[in-house]
Amino acid sequence: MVLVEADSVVKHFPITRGLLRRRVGEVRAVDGVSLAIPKGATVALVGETGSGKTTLGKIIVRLLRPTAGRIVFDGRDITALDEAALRPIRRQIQIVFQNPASSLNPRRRVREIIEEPLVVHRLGTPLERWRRVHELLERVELPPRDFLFRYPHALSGGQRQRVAIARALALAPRFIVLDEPTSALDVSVQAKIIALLRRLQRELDLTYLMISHDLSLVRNVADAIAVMYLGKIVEVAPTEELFARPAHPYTRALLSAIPTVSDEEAALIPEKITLGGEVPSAARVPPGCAFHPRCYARLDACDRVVPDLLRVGPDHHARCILYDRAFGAPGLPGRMRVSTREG
Amino acid sequence: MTPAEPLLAVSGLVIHFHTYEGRARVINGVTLHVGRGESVALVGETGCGKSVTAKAILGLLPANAEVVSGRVVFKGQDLLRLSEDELRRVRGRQIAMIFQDPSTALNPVFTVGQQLADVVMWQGADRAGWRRPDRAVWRRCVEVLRMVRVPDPEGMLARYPIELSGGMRQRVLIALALIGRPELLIADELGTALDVSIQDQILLELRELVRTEGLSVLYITHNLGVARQVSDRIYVMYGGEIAEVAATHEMFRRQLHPYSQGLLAAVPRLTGTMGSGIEGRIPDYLAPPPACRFAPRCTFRMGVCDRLRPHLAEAEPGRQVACHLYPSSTVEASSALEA
Repeated sequence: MVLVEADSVVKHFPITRGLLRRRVGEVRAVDGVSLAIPKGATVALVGETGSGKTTLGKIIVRLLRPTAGRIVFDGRDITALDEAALRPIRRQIQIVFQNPASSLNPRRRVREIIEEPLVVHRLGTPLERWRRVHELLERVELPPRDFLFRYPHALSGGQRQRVAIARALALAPRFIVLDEPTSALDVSVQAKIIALLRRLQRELDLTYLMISHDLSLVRNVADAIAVMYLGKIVEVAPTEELFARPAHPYTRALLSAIPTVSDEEAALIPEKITLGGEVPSAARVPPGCAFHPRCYARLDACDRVVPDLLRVGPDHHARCILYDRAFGAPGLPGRMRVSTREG
Repeated sequence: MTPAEPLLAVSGLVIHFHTYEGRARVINGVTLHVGRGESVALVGETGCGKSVTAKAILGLLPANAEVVSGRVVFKGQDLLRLSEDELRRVRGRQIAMIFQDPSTALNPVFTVGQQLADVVMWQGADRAGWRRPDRAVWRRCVEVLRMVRVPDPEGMLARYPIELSGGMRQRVLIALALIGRPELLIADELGTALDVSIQDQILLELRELVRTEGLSVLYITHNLGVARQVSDRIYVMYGGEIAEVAATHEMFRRQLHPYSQGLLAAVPRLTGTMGSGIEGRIPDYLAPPPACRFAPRCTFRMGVCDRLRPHLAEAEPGRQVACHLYPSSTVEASSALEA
């Protein structure tokens, strides 16, 4: 069963100039994304800076309103709901931000931080809320006695992120967006937080959308992965499938760029692909396939034809004309020793 | 200086910080060396003292730091005993640092050209003084930008840092470090603030440059994958001490120190495995554990670990480790003092 669905979501931010805020262009941050998140699953949204993954996450929790498209939560279209109508739904949808140092109010104690959502939603008596905060701290493995009255600055990075998670759990949500939940942490701490998130998912029957730039991390936590590039999903597949048969040239290049720590990992992507150039600005998306200026496998038509998300395997889709019958579907050669650079 | 002598040798470095709460015993006897043409990585997590070590080498420690003991010998001379004037002749010329954060290390109100030209002119004189950059200065600026593969280097000179992408800023920072034709580069978290595809480009290019120019590099990084990619030899640092040293391929094949083992196991793998992390947190430097600083978090903790400091010693041919699991590290008090 699908719990959360994004349907052809578009988000354009206007670029304005001058006193009259004349509109001179737009940033196509999210450009027609459809994604379904099954209940109880972890779906990961992976991409580099500026790919639109965080914007999409914010739209899904309705912190931003999309320019076009729909967000459906538990069978209900929440795209156009006003704040009052959203309130009961907000209790079910929560978000954990990347940097716990800035997402926790430095002037509030841990107890107040975790209690705040309950106060905002007018839930429980003070005593009930006190009990709930206790219980939440225990859930995230912070002994309440030691942590209730501390300020965020007196906590380590990992402890802060545990507090942020406890706050997200306060309203007993069903769905949590995790926006780079461990990228500000050291690896030894990251592993602990991931283990905690997994246990919570099991115990509380949670559904996660995890936003990350780290493919090796999502390899270990996600059931399915969507790779984004310049506002579009370029490839989506179940995790095992994506790593066994990466289809899009960009996905393959990303995999090959990851600094690995073992030979087994390096063997996964035998060809070393080093991408040239840089991600273009979302205000000037290249025509045709947005990836074509950096692509090492491009065809002549790539600067004209906007590729569709094509089926390349079971539940596996890639946005690349190399898989389009109209172009003979040559596919991506299995082994390539290419090192390309732009210009 | 004999040929066998390393380019840089840090020995027995002890650094304390004077803080409001008291004396923080941060660096507790660090010994490391970088040979000529060698790329060495100093790896550790936040707060392990790796950046402090790098700053100590360059004489860039903050005012509340005190070098209690130790030597930093570069090409036969102890940098810790040089005057500020003498140090200036080494820093930025024979040893250069590539700074970490490409978005803050450049001055936002000057063009790339002005910032490069400043350093070029300063290279030619004892004191910077003011003069107008001549054609030779600009030529040198373009030359270093070309070395780091900036497209259209002449055009780059007129641009401000804000106009550049993170990858381009990082390239400019590398170019700045190369101006003085240094023999030793210190790279602090190079590329880890960038996207992987850009990081990959830059690391690849720098490695090529290091090879063609015969540079020696000390990489400071928390990313084990990056260290594996760029270094010949790795020092793993924990709690202001060196836990383990080994050739890079040896280190990734098998780790001797329980901390290195836990650290490497915690790295998520593309093959779909991820360890459980390490319990506890880094030591409180105001009151560090009495003997082995890793003992409170160690799964192999023994009685001796709280009594005697483990000694960084050769446990196997070519491999040094500081852990009581290896008899070579257990030296009784009298002789351990000399370490």
